[in-house]
Amino acid sequence: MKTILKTTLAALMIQSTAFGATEVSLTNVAQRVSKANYMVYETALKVYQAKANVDKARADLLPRLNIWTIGSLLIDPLNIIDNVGDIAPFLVPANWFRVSEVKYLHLAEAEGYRALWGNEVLAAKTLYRNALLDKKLLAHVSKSIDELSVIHRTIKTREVLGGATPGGARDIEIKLLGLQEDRANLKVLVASEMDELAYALGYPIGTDLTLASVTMPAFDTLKPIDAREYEFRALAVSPERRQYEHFFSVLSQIKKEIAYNVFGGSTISRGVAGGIFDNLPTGGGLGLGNGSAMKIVQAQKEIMKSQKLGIEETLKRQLRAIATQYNSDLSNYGNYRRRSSLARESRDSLVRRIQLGDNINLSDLSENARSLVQAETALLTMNYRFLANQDRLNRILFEGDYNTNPPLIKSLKGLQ
Amino acid sequence: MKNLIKTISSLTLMVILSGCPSQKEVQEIVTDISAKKANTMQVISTSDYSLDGLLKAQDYFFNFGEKISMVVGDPEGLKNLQRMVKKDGISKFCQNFVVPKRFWDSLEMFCKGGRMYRCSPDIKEYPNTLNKMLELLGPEVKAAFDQDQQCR
Repeated sequence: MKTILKTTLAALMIQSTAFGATEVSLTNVAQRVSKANYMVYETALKVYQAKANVDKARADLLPRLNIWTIGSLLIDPLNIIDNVGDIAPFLVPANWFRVSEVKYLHLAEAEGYRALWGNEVLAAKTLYRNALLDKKLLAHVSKSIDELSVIHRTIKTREVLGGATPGGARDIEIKLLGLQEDRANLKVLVASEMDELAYALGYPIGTDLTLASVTMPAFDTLKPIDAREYEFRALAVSPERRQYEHFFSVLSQIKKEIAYNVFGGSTISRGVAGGIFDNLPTGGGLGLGNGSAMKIVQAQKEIMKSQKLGIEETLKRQLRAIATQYNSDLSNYGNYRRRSSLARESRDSLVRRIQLGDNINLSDLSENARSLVQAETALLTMNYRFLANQDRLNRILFEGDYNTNPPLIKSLKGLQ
Repeated sequence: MKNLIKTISSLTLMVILSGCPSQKEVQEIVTDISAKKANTMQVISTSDYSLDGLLKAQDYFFNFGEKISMVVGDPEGLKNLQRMVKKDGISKFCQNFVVPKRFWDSLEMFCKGGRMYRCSPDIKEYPNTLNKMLELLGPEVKAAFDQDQQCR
């Protein structure tokens, strides 16, 4: 009998684990996104393609023969000159430059992947914190509804028994109904955030996630930050900007390709990562169009320089915005906390007076209920906003969770 | 006949010249790691750690890392690098391309001076990148590198 009981209990425990909620914590969000996010997986495959293209481009420097080339050479050995691109592709300098381009493009693709991975981790962490904040707000609104319901009942009783101006209970009920609407809307919002989070973390739809709570910032120990101190790091580490640096190296190779195309043009593909350069004319053979081709490449470089400048200015602006909000929250934290504590003190005192039978001005009571909800919501929101800002700072500087490289496809497939 | 040859030669020359990069473009193509190294040395020796100064230094460290990562796993690229070192000698090679580690140390001190690291991974990883390069070049070159004033 004991054995049967033990087995049943064990089976129930296994079942509850298998079908129960999946617990997630903020510390393992980055890891989960790296392993299971669909976009990350897709982009890792693109980097893999770019890497494979380097090997392919290198292999394309070796002779590639087909039956027709061999046949034509047997008939007329002088055809070797026409077919030098197939028989000895390494003799065509443009091919060597093309191989270098492909290598630079692989590095650029890897930077693009790092940018996407960083954004996906940031988005998932933001969703996580937003879902937690909204859950807390939901709990807070529900608590406020309970508290206001008690006041509503008390006022209603006093209206019936005398001692309260008629219509007071109705005003409180209007506020109560407003809060109930807020609660319903928050429930919808939380459900949608949880679904989005499950998707970002690569869980099947319908997975019941339980979010572990997060540690709130220790405001007393933190100091303001100066955006200028980290401007250089933000620019230098930015994968978006680094991608352009690799593109400039590609453009230098394209220029060389044009300069040497008297020995024939390259037939080696730049691969998936090289699409943006495919419209640049490189030609094959020496011609009057080469000067213009050079000008087109030079203009492309100017375009990219301007785009890079745009990225730099955006990064500086973002860093300043983060620092301004961070410092503002840090210096105003005391106010937020004090406001919340005063509003609660005031509400407790009013409730005590009502319970003792004092004649309370109902507009004061109503106003107090509103300020308490606002003050507590503002404090909670500020705490989470501060955490979000810290995380944005980490993303822009590639610090903390972002201070590693995204996983390569081999490790995503469990081959490493 | 002579005129025909002249005309053909002039045309060919014209075509060749139009195909060749202009002086400015050539200059741009050869604005290489050597010029970037000189800028970096200037930044470090004057302690110009302004945003502009640091970006100049970054240009060198990024490019140096990029070129070394191009050589890794590419036997042909490695051969070229070895040929260059052999032809110029390690001292000349360092003079042209390598920021000595003692200079990097000063920059690294600035980078570590904030609450968080202030610089880029390329700067942080520079000694490792140098080691990777020396590993590729072999123990003899490494020994010469460690001895040479221009390099260390």
